Amino acid sequence: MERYRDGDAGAFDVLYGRHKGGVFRYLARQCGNRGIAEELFQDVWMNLIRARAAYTVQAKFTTYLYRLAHNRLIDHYRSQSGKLPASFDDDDGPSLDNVAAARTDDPAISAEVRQQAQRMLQLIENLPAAQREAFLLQQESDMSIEEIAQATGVNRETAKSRLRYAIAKLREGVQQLD
Amino acid sequence: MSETPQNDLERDAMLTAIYRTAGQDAPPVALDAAILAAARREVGARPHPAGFSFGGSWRTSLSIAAVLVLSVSLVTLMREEASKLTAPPRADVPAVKTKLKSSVASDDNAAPDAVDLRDSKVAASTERQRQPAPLDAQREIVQAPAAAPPGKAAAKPARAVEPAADRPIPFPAIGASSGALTENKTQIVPAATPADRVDPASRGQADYAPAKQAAESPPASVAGVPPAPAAPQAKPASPAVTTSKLERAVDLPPEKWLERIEELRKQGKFEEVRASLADFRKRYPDYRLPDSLRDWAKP
Repeated sequence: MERYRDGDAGAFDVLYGRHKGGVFRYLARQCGNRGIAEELFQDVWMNLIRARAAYTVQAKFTTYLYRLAHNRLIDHYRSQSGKLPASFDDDDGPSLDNVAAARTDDPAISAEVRQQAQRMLQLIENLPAAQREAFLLQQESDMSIEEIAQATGVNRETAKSRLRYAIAKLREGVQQLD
Repeated sequence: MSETPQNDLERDAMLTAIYRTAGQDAPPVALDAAILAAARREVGARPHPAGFSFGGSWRTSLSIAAVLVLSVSLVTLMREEASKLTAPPRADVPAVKTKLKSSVASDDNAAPDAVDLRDSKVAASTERQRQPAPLDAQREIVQAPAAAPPGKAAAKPARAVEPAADRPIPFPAIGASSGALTENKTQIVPAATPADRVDPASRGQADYAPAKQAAESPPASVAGVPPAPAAPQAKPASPAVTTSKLERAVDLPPEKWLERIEELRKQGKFEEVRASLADFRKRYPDYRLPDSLRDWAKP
């Protein structure tokens, strides 16, 4: 981004090619409408282009980019219903004591993934917006909890809680399919 | 990676694998093109505010650098030329420099600057020697050959002064008997003076005062002519005056010629009176002489 700020148009091409898919999916799965997602997606990148001269390195570029996407999404929520989804106001959420541990040692995962994909997308869509956002940010941009907290403008614990809830619900939904 | 164990609780590999296979939606190509074009327009349209871009102004920078290099070179060359004009060649200096260094060799504490100062003094003295002498000094140089031996002195001005034998006779010989006058003139006229080079139109004045003319004439060196030795030319003025008078009397009317001869007689220049009368008789054989000169005309 610094190279693009300094006038290297080719640097923007690299950035765009690296992040366009993740941002687009993040927006599309958050708003649930591809047409709206495209509009939001264009706005996000245009905001980035217009803000290039004032860009300063304060965080990882991915965090900065998804922060722009998050803000544009919040604006979209507000313009649609006049208020944010309820999950964005519920910082703490329920207790995570019952969330199952990860099943990284299961050899049957790869065989089940393709069959479970569509179901999982439905599960994601059913997640509360804040938890879905945390999960999407983790999956699309490979962010850590701290980076998710930065991108969404919440503290670390809130981001961690949202992510755990999202993962627990998705895991539970996937297991029910089995 | 200290958070890795903790993050494992929030990162499920199975969920990630399922999610990745769920689909890789991407924005439409048209949207990609529009965004990329907007990004390029933004870069091309606005000047760069954050920093100085050398790529856009390399021509200006190169021009400034070239001007600076040329200026420095010119100034250096001009200084070198000026130093060559004012300072003597360094090849002249070493002998003097070595002499000076040897004279101050005992002074171990002498700073290098002192040696340079001495060098500059030597250069200045050499410079003074090379500069043209003032006018007074030139006059001394011009007068110096006067004390030189006559042979040497006569050899140098040969170019400027014609030998007496080669000098053209100012007046045509009169008859066959004019040889005596010519011979007499050759004996009387001084060897060569600057006055001999005077234009024939002004010769009349010069003939009456050749010595004075020689004394008042500017030094030959000043006029761009090698200096003529003064001492050998300083001869008695009277014979020259007499000869000139005789030469001039040839063209005079007989009355004036006789008056001139009478003056010579009164001055006691009897030899000249006789010679002039002889010439007069040759020119005017039938002219009646006055009584005072009649006896002088007898052989």
